[in-house]
Amino acid sequence: MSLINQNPNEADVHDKVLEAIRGALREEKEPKLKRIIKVLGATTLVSILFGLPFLISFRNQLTWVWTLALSFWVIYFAIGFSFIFKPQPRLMISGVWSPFVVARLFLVSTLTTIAQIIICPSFVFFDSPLGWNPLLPLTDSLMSMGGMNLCMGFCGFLFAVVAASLGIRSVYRVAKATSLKSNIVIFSILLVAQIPVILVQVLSEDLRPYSPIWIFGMILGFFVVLGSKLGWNKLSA
Amino acid sequence: MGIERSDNDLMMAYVKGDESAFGLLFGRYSPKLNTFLHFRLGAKKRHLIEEVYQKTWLKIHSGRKSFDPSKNFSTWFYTVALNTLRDEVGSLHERSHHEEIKDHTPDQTPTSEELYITKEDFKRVEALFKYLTEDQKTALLLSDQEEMSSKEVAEVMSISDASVRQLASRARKIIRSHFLAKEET
Repeated sequence: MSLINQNPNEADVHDKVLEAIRGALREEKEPKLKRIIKVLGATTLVSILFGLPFLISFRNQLTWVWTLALSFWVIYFAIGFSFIFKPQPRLMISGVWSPFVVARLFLVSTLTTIAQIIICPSFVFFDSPLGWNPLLPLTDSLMSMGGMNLCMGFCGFLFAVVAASLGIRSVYRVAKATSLKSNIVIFSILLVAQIPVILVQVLSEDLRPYSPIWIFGMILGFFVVLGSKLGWNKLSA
Repeated sequence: MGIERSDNDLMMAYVKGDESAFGLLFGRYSPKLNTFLHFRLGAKKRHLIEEVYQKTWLKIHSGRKSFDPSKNFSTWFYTVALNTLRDEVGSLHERSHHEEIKDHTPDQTPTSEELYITKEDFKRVEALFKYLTEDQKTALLLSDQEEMSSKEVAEVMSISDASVRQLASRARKIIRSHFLAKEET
């Protein structure tokens, strides 16, 4: 018996929790093979959706380093989807980093990074297959102002801001916790998502000299996004 | 008419993956947890109540295989709930109220003024909970609203039996004195 009258919001929360845990119990009963098939299927689909445009666009320009990066990405998708499909209550609660939530942030930020490379190929010294790069005027301005260092630093910053913003947006209810632990978790996930890109830079002769400045820009971008999140949380509290 | 299954039976079935057993257990304890958090945190902290509520159930689910069937389910449930609440609002605040108890004389016999607050009265005295410490609120809610024994409450709160009786008794006294004062004005 409840001594208090339940308001509609509370009833929604209760129903959500009940359904989430029931769903987790049902998933636990699923055969493992079915789960493996789901993971492989999702990995294949996303790899095709994002990998194919990448391969087709830059097929004549890809080196072994890019093959390595693409392999990393496929592995990332597989790991991400195995977390997504792991039996668990799918609840988004502030500060609770369940496998589902971690995977969501990880996958969205990884996919955003790949999409950005396709849109702005000059970042990785690729020629655009479309003969048109929307960010080329910006690239030219940065090059004229500060050369490759400014260009790469800004590039790292921009890539990080876009990937982190969209990633955090996808898990906002969880990410809005302002605890140090929560922010460390977010930062670590975003950093891991960028490893293939950093690997490409370090292993490419052309990009290697500019890798540290790109990484610096990336870290700065993450701090700006996390700082903005903190400011937004305080304002809306 | 079927015999109602005990909480422990339902919990053991839930541990084995029985969805309907979980549904029944949830149906029993969801309103209790909601009420406990409502009185414990205050009606205005709706958002915090919802968060602690959800986190408690998540912890119950993830920790279900560690449930000891020789123990009382409600004791275990409220231990998880209270620990989740403490993690959420800060253990420092809770600890400072624990230390208060050590200064009091143990084994005080409750007087006629310190008799249980009935479930019906809880709603009427909700506003007076602000005069209680966090530990007093917990002890009172679990003793009078949930009708748990002082031994069970002691297990939940990780304090002695005597401390629980003292906390609950003091809480009732405070509530009654403020209630009477309010009635006179």
